[in-house]
Amino acid sequence: MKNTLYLILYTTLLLSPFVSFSQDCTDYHQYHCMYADYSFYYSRQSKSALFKRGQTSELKIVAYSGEDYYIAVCAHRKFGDIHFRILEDNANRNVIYDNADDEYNESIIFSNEITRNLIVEVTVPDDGTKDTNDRRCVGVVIQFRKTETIEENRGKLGF
Amino acid sequence: MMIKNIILGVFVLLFVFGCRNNSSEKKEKNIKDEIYGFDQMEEMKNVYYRFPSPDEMLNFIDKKELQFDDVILLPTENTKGYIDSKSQALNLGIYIADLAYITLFQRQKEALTYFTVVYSLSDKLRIASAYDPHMLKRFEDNIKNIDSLKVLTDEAMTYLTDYLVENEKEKTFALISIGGFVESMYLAFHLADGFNEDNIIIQRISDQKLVLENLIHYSLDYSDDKNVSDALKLLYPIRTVFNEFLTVTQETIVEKTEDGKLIIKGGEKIIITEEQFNKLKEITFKTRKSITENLEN
Repeated sequence: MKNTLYLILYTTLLLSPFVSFSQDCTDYHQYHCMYADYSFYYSRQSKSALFKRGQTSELKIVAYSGEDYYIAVCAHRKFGDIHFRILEDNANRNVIYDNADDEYNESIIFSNEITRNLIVEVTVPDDGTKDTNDRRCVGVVIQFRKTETIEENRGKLGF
Repeated sequence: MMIKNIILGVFVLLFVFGCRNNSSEKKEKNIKDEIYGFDQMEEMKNVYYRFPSPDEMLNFIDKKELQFDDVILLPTENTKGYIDSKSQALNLGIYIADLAYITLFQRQKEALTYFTVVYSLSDKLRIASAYDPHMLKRFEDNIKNIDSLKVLTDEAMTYLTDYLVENEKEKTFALISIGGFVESMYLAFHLADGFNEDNIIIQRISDQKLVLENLIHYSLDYSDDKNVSDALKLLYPIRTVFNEFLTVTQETIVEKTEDGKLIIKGGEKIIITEEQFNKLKEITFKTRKSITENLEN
């Protein structure tokens, strides 16, 4: 009986580092990413997924015209600065935003004149010195609100 | 006795490490997959397709300028007729889009009625545990608070989406999304009334071409399921009409405002003619009828 207990104990201890990786990333972004102010609504285009160092994944989204979009990325600090770019989802894949040119800022707000397919490309850096099997959640939060026109803004001036 | 236990422990350690060191990469992956409980590589895929939900699509609604019309909503009594899981999931998507429409028009009474229907249909699909158990009560308690209704609806729909992903029920999510897509289009056609190329609603309807592509790509991942593959067939006639649309391309220009916000100008604008508008309306209404009257069975 005692032997069986020891066996279970040893096996549990041995497997615990693996089991700790068994994480569900589904709602990671909801609790770890920075949100915009309350004028924005949560978009269910938001997504989290499991990443390892050096991995790049793409989130293909639709951004409507006449709406402002807020996009934020987040991950465990051990992953370092997360690199994200926003690309046009077409043959040219024009880069609209690259946070590497913006001090690895974790969020951006943009407005759109026409509706377009976009790619949020997320890369976890790999400097070659860390454990490449380290797997952690990475989240992307997307929020939206109606774009205010200059006229609407003018209406809000004064008391 | 103690020595025996230590020997046993060392044996277990050697056995497991031995297995790990001697196995090939493929075997190691399989063992890890068993330990993790899911296929890591599947989890770490490279492309994820997302698409706006009905509340995001219908966010153009301004209740000061548009008229709420409860006649266009799918009657709540219809739920009784949805017996099979495919029609339940597709029509759950329809009711979710109706709830988004109701919430954007800030209609309290209808919001509670339609949330109750969404809840009961979710229950039939055995996915009602996605919601906070007190959600219905919270809806009732906040019936007079317009802002809370919007927050509660958002929260409920986010819980539902997360629940379906977490529990590997993305096939059901694909069906719900297909229903929601069709109903969002149907509601937008009613709000647009006639054709006017400068109407923002008509532009939003034509922009659904892009949403449809992402929705189809997403659903194709689950098309080994007969219900999903059948539901996808409902979308193809709509796609055929969309494929007739022309686009006008301008160079994409990105400007940055003083407060750091980006303004994206140019790109591919979708153009819709009156004939295409009418054709798309007809096929959308037909598809909606097929789903709500459960004709595709």
